[in-house]
Amino acid sequence: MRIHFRHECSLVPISGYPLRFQPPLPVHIEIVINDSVIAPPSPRADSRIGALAEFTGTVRGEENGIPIAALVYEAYQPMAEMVMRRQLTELADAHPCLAVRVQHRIGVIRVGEAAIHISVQARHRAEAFALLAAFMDRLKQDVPIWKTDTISI
Amino acid sequence: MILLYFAHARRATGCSLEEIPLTSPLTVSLLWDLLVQRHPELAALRNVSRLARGDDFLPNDAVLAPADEIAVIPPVSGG
Repeated sequence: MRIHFRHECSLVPISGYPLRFQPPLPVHIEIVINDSVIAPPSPRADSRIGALAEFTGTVRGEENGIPIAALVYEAYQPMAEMVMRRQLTELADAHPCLAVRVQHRIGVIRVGEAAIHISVQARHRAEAFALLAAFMDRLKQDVPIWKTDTISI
Repeated sequence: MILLYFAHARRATGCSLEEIPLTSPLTVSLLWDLLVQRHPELAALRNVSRLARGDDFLPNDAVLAPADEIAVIPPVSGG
């Protein structure tokens, strides 16, 4: 019984203020757009982090039903970075996360290789999953990056 | 005004950047008229593309200055 009582007490922050009055956490955002092969980065060292959600988008072996060897991506880089940063900042208001890293590759990307990698770190999994899914939807609407060509087998 | 063309818009115009001499402000709609006049192949992209200044997509009634740098953004397909 004593252990159960301690667990309930731990829901109140040390400061003594109810959780709902805590200010939103600033989210650390890192965006990389280049032609380098994507290598997932090491997670940030932060003892508040309890969830790391990652997404890797890879190039499929067909485009519109036709087998391909690679896709060619292009970006309007300054705008793409600014739009992604704005989207992530807005989404972090609704889904408070601690850190987001986005790497989008451009140039020639062969079948099976990653075109995009996103890692989201948060205190809990729910906000990490939610931000990741919402961001991918918004990226596909408004971030100026294009698949411009296919390279045939 | 500096125009930047990407992806399908670059293919339609045959260039990634051009300077158009303007002496007075104009709306997004009027700029599109001008662009399609210069590059008829852009007509097919007009209804599906957007114009952007900085990191903002512009509504059709936005007013552009002669010194602006404007990007023509065809439908995006990243990720």
